[in-house]
Amino acid sequence: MVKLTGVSKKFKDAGLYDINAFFPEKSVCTIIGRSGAGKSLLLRTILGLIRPDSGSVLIGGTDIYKVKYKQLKEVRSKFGVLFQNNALLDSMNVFENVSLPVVYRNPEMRYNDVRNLVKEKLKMAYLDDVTDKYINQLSGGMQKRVAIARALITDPEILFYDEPITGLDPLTADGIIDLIKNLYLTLKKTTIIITHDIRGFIDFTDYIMLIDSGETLFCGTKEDFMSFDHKIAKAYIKMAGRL
Amino acid sequence: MKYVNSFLITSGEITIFILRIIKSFKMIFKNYRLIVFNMFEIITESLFILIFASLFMGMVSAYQIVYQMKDVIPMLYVSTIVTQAVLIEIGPLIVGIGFSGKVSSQISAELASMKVTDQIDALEVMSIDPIEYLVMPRVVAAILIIPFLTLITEFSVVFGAFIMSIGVLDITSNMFIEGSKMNFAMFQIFGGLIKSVAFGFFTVVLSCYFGITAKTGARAVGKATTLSVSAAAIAVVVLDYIFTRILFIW
Ligand SMILES: Nc1ncnc2c1ncn2[C@@H]1O[C@H](COP(=O)(O)OP(=O)(O)OP(=O)(O)O)[C@@H](O)[C@H]1O
Ligand SMILES: [Mg+2]
Repeated sequence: MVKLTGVSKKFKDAGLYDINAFFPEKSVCTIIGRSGAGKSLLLRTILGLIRPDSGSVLIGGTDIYKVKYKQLKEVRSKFGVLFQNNALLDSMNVFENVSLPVVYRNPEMRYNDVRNLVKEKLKMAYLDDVTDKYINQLSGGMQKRVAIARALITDPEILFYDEPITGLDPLTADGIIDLIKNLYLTLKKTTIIITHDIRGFIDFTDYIMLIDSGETLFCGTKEDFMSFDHKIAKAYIKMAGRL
Repeated sequence: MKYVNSFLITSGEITIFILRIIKSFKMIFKNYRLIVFNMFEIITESLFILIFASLFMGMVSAYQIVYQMKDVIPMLYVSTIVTQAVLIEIGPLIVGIGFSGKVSSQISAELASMKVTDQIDALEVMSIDPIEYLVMPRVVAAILIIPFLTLITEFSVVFGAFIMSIGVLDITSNMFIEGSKMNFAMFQIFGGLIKSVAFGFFTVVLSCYFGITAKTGARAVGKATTLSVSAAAIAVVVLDYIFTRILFIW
């Protein structure tokens, strides 16, 4: 469960203003909004990376900006995140990247176990035979998959995908959408997708949040969103082919 | 006033940063591989240039001393001056300045581009403290490797002076060796090493700080790099003054 209450964060010429949102457990929520609307910024506040000026962020009952760093780490261990630009460590190969979160947490884990775990997660992301490649030797789509495999390695409770298909060709994008959908159907984890291309996600999303210029325009069920009367909302509904 | 303000804020932040690094020293054994890796990085980054610069520094020093002091002091003292200056001042300073140029720019550019591409945030979210994982290993590696680099540098300067002296300046090798032993005290070597460790520590701390706190965009990487190089160079000369006062002048 993710709950935001009155979250505000002001930067010089942008920010978030009084954001309220609620994403129930095991649901799929899609956050949409124009470029620069503050979607990634919102994600950062949910991840505990940018402390809001006011308001609270509750993850499963823990107010992450009220607790000690150690507890924040505990909350974060439930997160699996695909960052907007993948954020893979480019000084390492695929195996090292994907295994890093588990190896760092349990250094005494046996190499074979790590190897199998990495293989399993890469397979879940429809990848194999890339373990020894370096990040810059992979295509954009493959990098996304590696980043998703890394997000899965710690068996997270909540999966975040920031713009998972932006900048990919339609075929590769479809592959990533299928992957995200299948992961949801098999794992049934809370899934939060940030995108400005709602098309592929609309059919399996439960909740939609629409933000613009740092303000919540809408946060509710997909069904309610379909009848939400607002210029920007209409554009998205049209894009999704539902108008 | 604005500059004073931001200077004070930055100094405060760096102090907290240093405390966090010291706190993460407890992870030294867990992260020893990273430390060893960074030691090799620092060596490949700086060893060659340090030796090269020191050899010439030594040759120039010997030449300058002879040029300035030819009729003032016996030529026996040329190597005494070089050796003393090297152990106390020039050696650590070459390492310090070399570090602030080469190692500091490398570290801050690397960390800043990691920051700009969200790699540092990703670590944070994976519950990997960037200070433990990225900063502490670099700082510890620098502390461990710097005495070694300093000794090599000091040897290279003296060797450069030696070549110049016997090759060009009509000083015999016996005279050079005799002269360099004069006034020598073990304490001078240690004093110099303490200085260079301090230079390395602050250089790496500053470059990690400016790298990790870089803002967004490609410009931010450039800005972090220039900031850290100039801050490190200033830190080195200021620390040099402070340590020389404490260690060698009572
Ligand atoms: N740390 C920061 N400091 C200052 N401004 C920031 C910071 N983070 C984000 N912003 C500003 O907040 C605004 C929203 O940025 P954000 O990255 O959240 O947009 P977005 O909705 O994710 O857009 P996109 O679809 O392009 O990814 C931008 O104008 C950005 O410049
Ligand atoms: Mg974004």
